[in-house]
Amino acid sequence: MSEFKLEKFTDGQFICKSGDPATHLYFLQEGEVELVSATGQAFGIIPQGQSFGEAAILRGGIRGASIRAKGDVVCQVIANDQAAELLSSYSPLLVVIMEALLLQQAMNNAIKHA
Amino acid sequence: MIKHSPNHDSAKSVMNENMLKFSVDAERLGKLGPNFLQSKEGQDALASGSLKGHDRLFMSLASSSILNTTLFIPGKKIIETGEQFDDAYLVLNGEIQITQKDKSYKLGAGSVIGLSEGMVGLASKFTATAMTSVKVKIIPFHRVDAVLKVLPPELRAILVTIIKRNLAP
Repeated sequence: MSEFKLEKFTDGQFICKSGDPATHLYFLQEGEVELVSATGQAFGIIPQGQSFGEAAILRGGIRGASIRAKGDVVCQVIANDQAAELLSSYSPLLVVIMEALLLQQAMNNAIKHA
Repeated sequence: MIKHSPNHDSAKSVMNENMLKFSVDAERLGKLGPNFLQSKEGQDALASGSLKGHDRLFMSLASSSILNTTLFIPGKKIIETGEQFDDAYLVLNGEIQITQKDKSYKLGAGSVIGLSEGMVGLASKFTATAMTSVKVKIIPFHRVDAVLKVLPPELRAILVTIIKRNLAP
């Protein structure tokens, strides 16, 4: 998985901010991160072993929330174009699966908030 | 197949059966053409927010040549509560009624039916019925499983993260 690079973040450091271009996808190897609203309010936690920033798969996507390190954090990081190439290298169907899961997520969010 | 620990059911409120809970404007997106997303105009539309992420995903999936298409007639039960199912579906056009316990609502173009559930081998918790003629792209789980077997842990974990979010009550 040479396409992924290790990045470390310290407690309170913003990893990405709402409205920024979604250029990277993150896999949370150590620690946990907070989802932060535009007003600076934490409204959720992403635990170790999960990913965030999957919108990076959407070239040209925009971050929907800010992400802040809660304690020291180590992430595996991959740029969006490399992520798309990596997915395609395993199977074109993997790109379809990822896009369909993200579309199902958008649908579920719309259902929950309707 | 990805293993999943099911979440508990939360209390559900009664919803309006006639409400279309999710739909993209498939006709408008179709008119933009297959190369729109790669164009500067398409990139600008994404950056400005005039083209939403779910619009972009729908356009990409709808134009995919690796998924077969089929048509369900009105009244056809596409997936039934309590049953295992072999395929997930992307709705290209038409309307589907979802019924689940005391909930009932409609979904339109752009809806993805049963993908996360089927990827972890869950029996369906809902019934999906075609309310109109419904054209769909088919995502067969035997093909999905074949791809999942060769994935490295990091990519698998990313898929599992999205699936867990989709299955959360």
